[in-house]
Amino acid sequence: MTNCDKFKLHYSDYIDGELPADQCQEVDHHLTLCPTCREIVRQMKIIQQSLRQIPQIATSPDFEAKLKQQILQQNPHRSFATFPWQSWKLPAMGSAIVLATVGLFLVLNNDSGPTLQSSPKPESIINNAAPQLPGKKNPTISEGRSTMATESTTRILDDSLRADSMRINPEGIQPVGVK
Amino acid sequence: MITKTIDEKKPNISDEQLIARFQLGDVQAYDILVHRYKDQLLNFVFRFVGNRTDAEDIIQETFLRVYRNKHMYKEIAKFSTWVYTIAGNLAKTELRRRKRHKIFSVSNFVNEEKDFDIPDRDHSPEKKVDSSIQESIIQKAIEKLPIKFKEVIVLRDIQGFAYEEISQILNIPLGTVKSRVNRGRLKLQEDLKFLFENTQKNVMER
Repeated sequence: MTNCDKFKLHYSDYIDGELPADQCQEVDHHLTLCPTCREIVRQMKIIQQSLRQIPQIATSPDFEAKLKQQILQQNPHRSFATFPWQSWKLPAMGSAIVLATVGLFLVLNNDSGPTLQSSPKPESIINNAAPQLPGKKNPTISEGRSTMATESTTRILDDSLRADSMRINPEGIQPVGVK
Repeated sequence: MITKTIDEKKPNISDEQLIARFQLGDVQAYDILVHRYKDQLLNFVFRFVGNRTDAEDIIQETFLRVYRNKHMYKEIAKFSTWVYTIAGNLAKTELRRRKRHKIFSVSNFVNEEKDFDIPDRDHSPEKKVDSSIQESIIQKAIEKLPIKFKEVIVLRDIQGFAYEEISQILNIPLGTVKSRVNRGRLKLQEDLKFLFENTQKNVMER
């Protein structure tokens, strides 16, 4: 490798001003001594300047319309219309669903309470006499509970397994095996 | 147009915020990203493939892929890095396809290093060369560069990317980027030095 070839490895960094100071001085010194390399660096600078000044081109006016058309063709079920409310559409929809669910839950709970009280069934009479257990009563399975009431015992059927594992008699709660 | 208005009203929304919004279903954010990047990507790909129609098709495909694969983007990289990587890969695929189909003349590949045919060679270089070089000449010189030099020269000297970002876009080490930029610039100087011959003589004579 000739002396010039060694310095050629650094010309790009030299032009970009990214060469460390000591190496930069070495290149400067070489360029003062070597007219060929000096000319190479000069030409490289002009070419680089020309690249920076190269005119920019723009996409055709229908570029975005074509793109949307292609997207619609590939995703026919998707609407590409943009609406001003789109940025908050998703959070709003999510909130609405949560509110609707909570509201429905509350309404159903309020409805089931009075109905049970207005037409007391045998097991509710027994339950009223027995100590209260934590958990909610499930009105949908009252048929099974009435059968158990005829045996002087009843099961409080709850969402939890713990409630299922207990039977109630007028004397109180006695743990039994899970049926 | 709605897109332009929104982008102008909120220029401070970063690309990364926009792609995050698009990932949540906000198509308007996608529109803004397309608007921001379509021209600069076109210039990148056009300098790469040398044909405007092909370049525009590649940019269309790039944005289609962004649309289809929006969830592939992770915030560890800049959006610009991601989208340039997609466009660059598509451009390279196009160049390889052309090579396979021999769209280029055979003479271009017989002696790639020596054969450098610039039709506009006899124009008056001394009028332009000291400040800038005619676009068509420089475009042809870029097209003649091997792909590995071409991509770094376009990204660095035309698009103005930092070396670090070029390293990420092309997924090659920083040192390799710097080395390729240096060799690419030297190759361009070698290929275009005939433009300087007259002016060099003039300089010597002075």
